[in-house]
Amino acid sequence: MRPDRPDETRGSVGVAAPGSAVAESAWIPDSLGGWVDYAAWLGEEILILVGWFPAPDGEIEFALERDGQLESLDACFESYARSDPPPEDPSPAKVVAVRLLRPPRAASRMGRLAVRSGDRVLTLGPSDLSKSLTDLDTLLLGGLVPLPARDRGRLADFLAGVPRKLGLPVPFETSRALAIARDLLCESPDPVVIASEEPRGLHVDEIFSIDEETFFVRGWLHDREARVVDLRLVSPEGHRVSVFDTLHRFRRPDVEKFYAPAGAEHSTSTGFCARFGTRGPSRLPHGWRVEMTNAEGDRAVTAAPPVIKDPERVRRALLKQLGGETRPAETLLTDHLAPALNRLQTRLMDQVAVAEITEYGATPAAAEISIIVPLYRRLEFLEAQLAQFVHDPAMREVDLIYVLDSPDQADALAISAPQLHDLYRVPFRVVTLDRNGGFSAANNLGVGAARGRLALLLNSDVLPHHPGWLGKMRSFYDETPRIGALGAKLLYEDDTLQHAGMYFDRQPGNDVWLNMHYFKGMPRSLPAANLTRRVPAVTGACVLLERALYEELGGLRGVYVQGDFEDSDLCLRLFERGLASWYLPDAELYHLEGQSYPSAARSLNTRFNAWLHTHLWDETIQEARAAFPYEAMAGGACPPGDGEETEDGGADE
Amino acid sequence: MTHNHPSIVPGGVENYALELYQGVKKAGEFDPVLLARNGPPVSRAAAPHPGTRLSRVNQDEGQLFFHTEGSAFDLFRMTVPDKRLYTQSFRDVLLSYRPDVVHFQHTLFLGVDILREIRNTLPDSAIVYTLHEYLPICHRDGQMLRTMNDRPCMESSPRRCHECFPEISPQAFLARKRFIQSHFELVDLFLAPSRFLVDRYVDWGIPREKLRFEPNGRIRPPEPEPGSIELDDPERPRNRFAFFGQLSPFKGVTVLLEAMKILADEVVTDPRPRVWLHGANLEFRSPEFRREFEEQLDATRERVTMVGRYEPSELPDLMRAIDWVVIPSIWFENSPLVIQEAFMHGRPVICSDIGGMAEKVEDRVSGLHFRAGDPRSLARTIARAARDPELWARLQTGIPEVYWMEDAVKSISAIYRQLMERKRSEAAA
Repeated sequence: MRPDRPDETRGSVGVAAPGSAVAESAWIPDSLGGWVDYAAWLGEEILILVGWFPAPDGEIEFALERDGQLESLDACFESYARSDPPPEDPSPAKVVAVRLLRPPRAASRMGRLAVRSGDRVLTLGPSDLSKSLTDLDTLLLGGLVPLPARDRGRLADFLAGVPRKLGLPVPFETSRALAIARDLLCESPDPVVIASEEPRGLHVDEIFSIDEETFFVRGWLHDREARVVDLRLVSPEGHRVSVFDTLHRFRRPDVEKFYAPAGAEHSTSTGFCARFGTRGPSRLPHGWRVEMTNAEGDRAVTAAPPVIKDPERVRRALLKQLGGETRPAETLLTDHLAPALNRLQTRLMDQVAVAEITEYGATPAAAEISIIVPLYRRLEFLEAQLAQFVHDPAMREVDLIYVLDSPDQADALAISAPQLHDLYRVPFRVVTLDRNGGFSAANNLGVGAARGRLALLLNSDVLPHHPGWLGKMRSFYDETPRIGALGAKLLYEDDTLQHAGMYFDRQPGNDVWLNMHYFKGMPRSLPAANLTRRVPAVTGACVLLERALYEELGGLRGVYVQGDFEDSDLCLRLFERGLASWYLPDAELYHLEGQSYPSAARSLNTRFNAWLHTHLWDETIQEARAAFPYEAMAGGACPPGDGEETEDGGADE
Repeated sequence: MTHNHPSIVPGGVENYALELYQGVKKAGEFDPVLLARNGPPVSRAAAPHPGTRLSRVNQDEGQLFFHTEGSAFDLFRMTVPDKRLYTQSFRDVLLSYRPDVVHFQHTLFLGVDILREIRNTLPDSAIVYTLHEYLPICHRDGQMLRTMNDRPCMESSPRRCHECFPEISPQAFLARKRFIQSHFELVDLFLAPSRFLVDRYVDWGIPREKLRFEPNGRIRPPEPEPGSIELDDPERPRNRFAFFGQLSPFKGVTVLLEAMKILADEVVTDPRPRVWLHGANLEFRSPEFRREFEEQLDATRERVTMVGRYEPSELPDLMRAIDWVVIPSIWFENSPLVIQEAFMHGRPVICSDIGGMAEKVEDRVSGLHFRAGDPRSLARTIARAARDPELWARLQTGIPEVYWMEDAVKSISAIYRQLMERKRSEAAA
């Protein structure tokens, strides 16, 4: 299939370049020897060529030739050894991927494909190409499958990376085509047999997608004969990634027991998990493979189950990995879980947007304060809050925003919200998110819709103890220089303290800082809890701050899982700027804590969040602790600093 | 306003509501309307006319049914999810009648937030609410009995209520109370038919100045025709006892049977006390209770007669046939109708020494108290009462004057006037 001499008609090859035109004149047409064996489309914008193109100086460029002008095309290639090139030119054969629009989409920009090396060019007209143009399967079977296994694996990996190199998205069809290519090019050895007498075993329990290019794999391996020296994952599209160097390994008593009868003394059976990236997107759930190699070169291969993509399941699995070990290596968190969870959280948070804002009643356009209340699942809290807000004339003056973070309840809320407004006559707005975004996203998007100079974040399970609290918080905030966040006194249902400010503490022998609440469980009237004072941090269940400041800081950080530590993270960012958190006992509210979501999952979330919080803030926390010794706080003394000392707050009943 | 009408199912509160309505109407000063809630589970009738929840009760134009679904009623928070019941249906009623006073006898199946609708739509109307029972205080159907041991409870709090209902968090109980109180705040005056009830609601959080003791008035029975009453033999032994009421655990009927068993087994008295049980609805009780009841009845069959259901009109005759009325309830009771009936017929009452019963029956003056829930104490009391005809005669003379409905109407009319005056001056200011 050597190309003909240039086509007399010099017609179009029906391809069009996406790039900008680069004027070229100094070239010698049709002066480059070489040929195309196969050409095939990979998706709608990539033309794959298999052929021999001599490249005296090692460089080849691809261009579109029109009216004597060359337009440079994005392309990449991979070489491989072949016996049929002319002996005078030892250039290797090549698999080339060129970014071109596939006809008929390209109809508007016609041209001929030009391959250039130095000042020599090979142009390919339609008849040249039509002889070699085929489907991808034929290209692979005829051109690449006969090659030695070493080349095939490399070329499969090259093909998988083509869309990324050309800066193109990978639609589902391209993924499918790549998966077929991988299956044709990479031999699938028989999967390893799992039996206790076998020398090797390899199993993938689960593989999770963090995003399209980041994955988390969990499984176990076993080799009785030699040290394992490599572990690679192969995506359905052909991406080949070694995860061995960063692999987190942990004991699997079940696997150890399984292989024990056959002699365990040399066994290296362990559980493993790893977060890893591919060099391009992988979308296909089926077809992942794992390959293990030991020091003697023995290989074991196994197929992975389908990729789990549901972010909630992925998050649970990641946290479960943390929960599976009492004292996990720091690298499990730093190399695997934290980057994976952060990426997952960020991705989830970036995906969520405001779907709709509905106004019930005339909410004041020029309100001083916006109150942002995320609603998740428990819609009845809205009614419970309105039944208390209704007693407080101040609540008619505020910009009250409910952020619905469980959008599947949007219809139910759209029915009850107007009725509740009609009954309570407290104006409010409902900001409905297009998907569940979590505490941070809900608050941040709520603040994004806010109009007030001040923003008060309020949990839906917080009920005022008596009217007047908001005015007190506002006055105090406005009168206090260098204030960052202002928190209130929060009570349990039996009038004991739920929140009177927060400080940081850790257990002996544990590096992780925990958020502690001052005087938790003490009576409401405890003198020490009735001092207005600066504190290391305040709870996000009820916190007032300037809206501009909140937005400047970027709001609550979404890296923590499901509503935990965002508040102290915010206070620590304020602390870094020299802005203090204050506790105002004069503002009293009930916090019916613990009704928001079940606590089983919560302890794992907290374990991770506490670690992350410490990881991010260790130094600042130490500084904060130096400024707020617990003994001084418990005794009621204000820490040294530039804040103004104020009168005792005291409960006002 | 009430939660039911006697023509659907008779009951103490609904009977009283109807009688008060009739009394106020007869007095002529006000033009009352009786709005009685209708619907499941009390009645199987659906609202008969599309587009309205109202329908007529009978020929009396002043008596109307207000149909609600009932199934969606939230018995915990005492509300309905669909607020259009208030903001549309009830608002229409309010705007049509524009009442000066809205007087509630109950908000069950209506919801406490109905009070807010009145305040929204008719800000100058007075709201009166007669607290006949303890539902707002106690989630256990207002029984004020602890779920674990059926002991009376005087202390409602999120912690205590959560102990009775471990599946409901204490926080939810606080939210419940706050929700109900949010609406109760709109009521101008609460009435309660016993001082005990008043105290319970003061403890619960209603300011005392908003609560007033106002006994339930009784309709004066027609004067009996001369000669229609058989003459009683003053020397006759007073050994006939009767129980009137629901055959339920809370009414203490098994305490009475147990006491009779003790008397049969241990105490030899002459004359021997005999008991008649007037009551029904055993079929609605739990199988365990029914078994216990049947066994006890079987063991005491020589001294206890199970009579069964009775009509209110039969009460005079039934009362004449006995000497003592026994009210062995293990719960506080509100203001039991049976006490008033017994007193109207000159029958001293033997009752538990708690709550509304102990308040209405003065120990050793108009009756005898025994230790609530204690069959031995009741057995001793019955034995003593049966032995001593002079005691009976003395207690009969101690029975207080009946508070007749015409007195109640006068008192309540004065309350209406007073509140209307206050509302007028508030509106003017």
